[in-house]
Amino acid sequence: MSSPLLEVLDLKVYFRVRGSLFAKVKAVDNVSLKVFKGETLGIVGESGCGKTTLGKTILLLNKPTSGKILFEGLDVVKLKGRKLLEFRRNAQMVFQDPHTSLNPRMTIAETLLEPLREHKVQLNDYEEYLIKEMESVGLGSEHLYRYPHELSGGQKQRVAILRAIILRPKLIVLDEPTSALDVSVQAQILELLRDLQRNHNLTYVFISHDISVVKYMSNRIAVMYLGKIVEIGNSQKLYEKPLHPYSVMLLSSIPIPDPLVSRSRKKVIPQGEPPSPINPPPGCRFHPRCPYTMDICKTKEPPLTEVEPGYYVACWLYAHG
Amino acid sequence: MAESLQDGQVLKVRDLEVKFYTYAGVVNAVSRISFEVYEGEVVALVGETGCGKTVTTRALTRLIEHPGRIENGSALFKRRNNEVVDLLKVPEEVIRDIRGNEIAYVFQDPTSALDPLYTVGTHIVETVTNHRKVKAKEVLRDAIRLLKEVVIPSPELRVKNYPHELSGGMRQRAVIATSLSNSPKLLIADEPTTNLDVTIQAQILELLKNLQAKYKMSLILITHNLGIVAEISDRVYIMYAGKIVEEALTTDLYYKPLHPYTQLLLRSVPNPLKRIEKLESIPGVVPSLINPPPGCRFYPRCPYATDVCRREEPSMIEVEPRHRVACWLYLKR
Amino acid sequence: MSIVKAVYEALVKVINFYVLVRDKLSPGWSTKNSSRVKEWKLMAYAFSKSKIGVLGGMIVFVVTLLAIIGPLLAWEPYWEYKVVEDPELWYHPPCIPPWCSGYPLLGTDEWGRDIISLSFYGFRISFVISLFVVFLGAPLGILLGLVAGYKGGLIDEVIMRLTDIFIAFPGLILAIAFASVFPQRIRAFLEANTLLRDFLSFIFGLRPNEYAQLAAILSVWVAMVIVWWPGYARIVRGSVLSVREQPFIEAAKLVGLPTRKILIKHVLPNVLSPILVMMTFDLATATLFAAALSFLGLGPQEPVPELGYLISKAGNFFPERTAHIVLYYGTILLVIALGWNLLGDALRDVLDPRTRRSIEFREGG
Ligand SMILES: Nc1ncnc2c1ncn2[C@@H]1O[C@H](COP(=O)(O)OP(=O)(O)OP(=O)(O)O)[C@@H](O)[C@H]1O
Ligand SMILES: Nc1ncnc2c1ncn2[C@@H]1O[C@H](COP(=O)(O)OP(=O)(O)O)[C@@H](O)[C@H]1O
Ligand code: SF4
Ligand code: SF4
Ligand SMILES: [Mg+2]
Ligand SMILES: [Mg+2]
Repeated sequence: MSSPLLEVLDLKVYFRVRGSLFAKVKAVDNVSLKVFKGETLGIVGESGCGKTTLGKTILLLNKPTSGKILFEGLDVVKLKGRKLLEFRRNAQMVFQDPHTSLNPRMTIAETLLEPLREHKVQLNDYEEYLIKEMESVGLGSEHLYRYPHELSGGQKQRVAILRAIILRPKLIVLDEPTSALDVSVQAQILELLRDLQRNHNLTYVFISHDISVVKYMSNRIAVMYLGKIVEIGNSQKLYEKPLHPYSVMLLSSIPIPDPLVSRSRKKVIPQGEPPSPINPPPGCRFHPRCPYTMDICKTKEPPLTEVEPGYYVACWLYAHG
Repeated sequence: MAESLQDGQVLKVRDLEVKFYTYAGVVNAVSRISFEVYEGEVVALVGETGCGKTVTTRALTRLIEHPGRIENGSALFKRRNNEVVDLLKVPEEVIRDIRGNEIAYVFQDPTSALDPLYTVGTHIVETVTNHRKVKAKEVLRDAIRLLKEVVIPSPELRVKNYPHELSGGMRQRAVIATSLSNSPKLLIADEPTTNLDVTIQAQILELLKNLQAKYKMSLILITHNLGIVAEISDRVYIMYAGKIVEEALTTDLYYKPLHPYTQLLLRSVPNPLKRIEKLESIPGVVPSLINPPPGCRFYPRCPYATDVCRREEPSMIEVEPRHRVACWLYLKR
Repeated sequence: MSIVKAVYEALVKVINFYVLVRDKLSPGWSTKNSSRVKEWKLMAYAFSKSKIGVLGGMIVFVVTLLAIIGPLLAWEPYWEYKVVEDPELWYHPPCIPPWCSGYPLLGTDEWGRDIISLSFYGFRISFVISLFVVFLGAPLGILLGLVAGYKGGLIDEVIMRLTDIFIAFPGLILAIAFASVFPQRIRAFLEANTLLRDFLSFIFGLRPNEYAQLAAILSVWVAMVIVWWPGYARIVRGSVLSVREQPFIEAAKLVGLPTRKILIKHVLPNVLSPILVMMTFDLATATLFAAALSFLGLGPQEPVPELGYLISKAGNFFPERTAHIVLYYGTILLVIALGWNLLGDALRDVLDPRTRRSIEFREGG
């Protein structure tokens, strides 16, 4: 792991609230992270904490309010024209819901040809090429001229994945790619993603609220809460010994598919619900739900502190104020 | 009546069959399934999307919509007054009286279960006054108690809230409160936490568990999440392509799964407590329910399939006490 | 039951024929589009299941046919005033064979023209006006709606305020204003451009020297287009707002498609169904609106047999001498409007994939 493929610096994405002049949703607030070549960075958190917004902003689908996004060292935020197209070719995304991420009025072939045509990829026989590519994601050629509604959820997600990798990008943002799918299909898709990563040397940003899946897929995990990263580091370590009280709570709410274990383990039933990102609590944003709240937590925001090499936590329990 | 309920049973379904007549063909959504529910137990109905879980439970109170039809079967249900009725044959008024009253539902999507034009309190009042003659005032007091029961903070204020003023988790709590308002004998929860966050999911499951014990009702929990099943159910039915393929006590199912589908399914979920090198995935896709394969429906994807599996359908047999499976591996030929 | 089957089979035959032609033109077309064709056949089935839709479709088919060949069928030129030769023909009442003979079946108008023959011209004029209004007004509205909905912000604000202004603008007053200003100019223009004049009079089924009347028709038509597009702009913008949030639009952006291509390839096809339905309903409304304008004297005058104008003239001796005229032309307008409306209703179900796919199917109807 040498230089990062992607580096996000102090990224802020604020959305204006409809019908209000000043209120803003701070969907992503001061996020910095690095993604190294060939690794998978997992991002977990409750819904609305800003995972999707972060993923989409990295790919310039949202306009950042401030901050830098360096892709191979180049700030991509202001790219235009040819340079932007080049970036698009290198960074792609797979969306959560395969039922809405494919145009229902286009056949699979039309959907897959679009990136090839737009990026002027010259091929002798497009059909033959598509059939080969379809096979590489486990789809038969008979699906080529079908409409999305004629495919199952898992098959649609395979098409969406193929659309993302067909230009052989370097980075793929996977936004909950299996949460709309069944368990048996989920396993197929996860394995497919791992195979593709190996074969094409891909770098993944894997977003999910399902921590079991993220842990299985990622080298490192970032835990997000209300637009901020509260803990980031090696996935095995984070899983075995989470430091931030929020990570602890998140981990203990995963149902474990093992009746004896799940009924005997010590559980922390989470308290309350995440507050609105429009008016986040002052100080540590987690303090209204945190069992360890101290005075300093209510007023001062804890900095993201390196507790071990490459392992960061934002909590006053681990920082020296 | 040829069949009757045994001791402790609330519901006994036999040979239920539901079909949908569509342009693409006849969808055999539920094919001759049988199951029972005992008093005070939590039964999980597990299966992948489209395998017929929702249709099965909706058929119980005849909520099947056009172009679907209940073709066959019986569903004996023990009412509050201990009268046993066949839900599929009783007159429409009776079923309307049972639905929402003795058998209540909690659906997957809390948003569509609540009418945006009415307050949470109105929903509960409506549900109660539909079935019993009570004063709205009294019910409203009861509604506040119910909201407190489902752990909604400041229930006196929340009764006056409209659904959009609540978060997803709060809405699902309100739906649960509504469904509890007539103290049902049987609560059917259809993927009650699928649209919610894990943290909220943990809260809702805890809540359902406590309420089930407190109200001494039976709970049919539909889910595809094997973690949730392990967490709260007593007994499990595994469904595959419109059929029940295995039935067992929860612990038996996890530690001694019999049906090849169950075995593979259990190995395809990542268990975060274990180090997994590679997830097992079930090859292929769920068969279409239009012209499903004859014989065993899992045949095209089964690693142990033999010739007989393709030709003939395996019947359910009891391999061990309270552990039944439909697979040729366990049937003597 | 047999009608369902017959209609379905007829439509399937048409579809199969089209597929055959396309396949001949570019081999392999049918395999590449088999799903598309299957969907068409499903639509045909869904349509054939709707009784009112089939009725509407038949009415529309007949009306369209009559509009196309009507002026050729008309056995009396509309510009011949028979009453000059036979005064009996002045508002002659219907003349139904066993009791009466020698006069037109449904009677005549004040110039002694057979009202049935005359109505064939009327069909064509009404049909062409409504078609022009809808097919010009709709694209304008669709374009503005697409841009407003997709771009949002200031552009949206400007276009939609403009739309509001036009919606608030009373169509009738606009038409009156136009009727006083435009006809002279259009007439002068037509006199200068004889080719255009000949073409227009051909499609309206009129004599080429009908400058004044053509000009009046055109000014009605311009007035209508101007009040027509805002409706489309509004509904298109509404649908675009929901479509543009769909992940497949974001995926298209990630591919790197320019906005123009995203609008045409991804947004438009997904907002088209409600527009098609609205256009069908609007063909009815436009027919009636045009008739209403001429009824008020804002459209063409003598001798052009515009249906609304014919009815308005019949007001003079109503009901003693003209009940048959009002009744006959009124019924025609009603049936045309009814046909389009029924068709539109059925199309709404046929074009909605969810409704379409949930229709109960039984082989053999
Ligand atoms: N209204 C309908 N029209 C046609 N087919 C239907 C209809 N409702 C359900 N089906 C079919 O019946 C079968 C069973 O559906 P059901 O909704 O019971 O599945 P499920 O097990 O609840 O799945 P999920 O996990 O997605 O909720 C499916 O094949 C489905 O396509
Ligand atoms: N286009 C938008 N306009 C306004 N608010 C938005 C927009 N997109 C996301 N948000 C808000 O930003 C926050 C983070 O959203 P999101 O990134 O989608 O969360 P996640 O993916 O973690 O569930 C939420 O409060 C959401 O409502
Ligand atoms: S900073 Fe304080 S409130 Fe925040 S997580 Fe740490 S202990 Fe809890
Ligand atoms: S019956 Fe045969 S095909 Fe079916 S699950 Fe058993 S072994 Fe496999
Ligand atoms: Mg998201
Ligand atoms: Mg369901």
